Amino acid sequence: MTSTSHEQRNPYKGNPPRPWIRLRLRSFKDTLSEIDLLADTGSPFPIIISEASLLLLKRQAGTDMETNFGLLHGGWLELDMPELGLTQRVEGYGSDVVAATVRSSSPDFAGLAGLPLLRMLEYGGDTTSFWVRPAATS
Amino acid sequence: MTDKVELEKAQQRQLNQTAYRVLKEEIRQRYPRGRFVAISGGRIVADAEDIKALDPLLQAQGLYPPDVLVVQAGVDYPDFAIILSSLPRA
Repeated sequence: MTSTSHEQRNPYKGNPPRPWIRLRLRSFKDTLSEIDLLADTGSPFPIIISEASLLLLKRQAGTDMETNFGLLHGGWLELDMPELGLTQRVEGYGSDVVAATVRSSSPDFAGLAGLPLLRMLEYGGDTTSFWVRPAATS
Repeated sequence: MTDKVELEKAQQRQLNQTAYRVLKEEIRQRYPRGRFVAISGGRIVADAEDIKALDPLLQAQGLYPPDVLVVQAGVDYPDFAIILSSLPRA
């Protein structure tokens, strides 16, 4: 991963190669955790991680959701990435099925970053890497 | 965490999820759209414009915020969602 003060650029990772983003989250106990998430515009949820990770990181509980990957347990997660303009809480979800599925691409992946989160940023890619940077302010 | 504590937490969780389904229309009518509403023990216990502002309100009541369900008034959560992921099922 390389970062300027305003861009995070990550070489594709896994088999097959996948785009990904590294997020920093602040837990209720005020600890910071960095997790690598597969970037997936096909996911309608901001963040999906394992049940155990959600239990450790959630600030408040969220609504549960039935999906084609089974039941997702909701939990509000606090982003701590001022360099990308991300300091708000987003409604994350816990699913061991989704977490195991993304780990089949790379054991480094802790889950999925979906379109609602990617839309908080600018994002793109080329032949070698995927990048995100703060959303342009108009 | 002991099995008993885990079971109690799971029961509380289910209680709050069910309570939200029952209270959803009332929440929509009572609160401005987007307002954050906290549910614990099957009932509304706090509300705030900013979700982070809920934490001290909940702690003042002796509640542990990670166990409290927080929803937004007027937000329509679908009954079922499709993740169009290119990943195969594990």
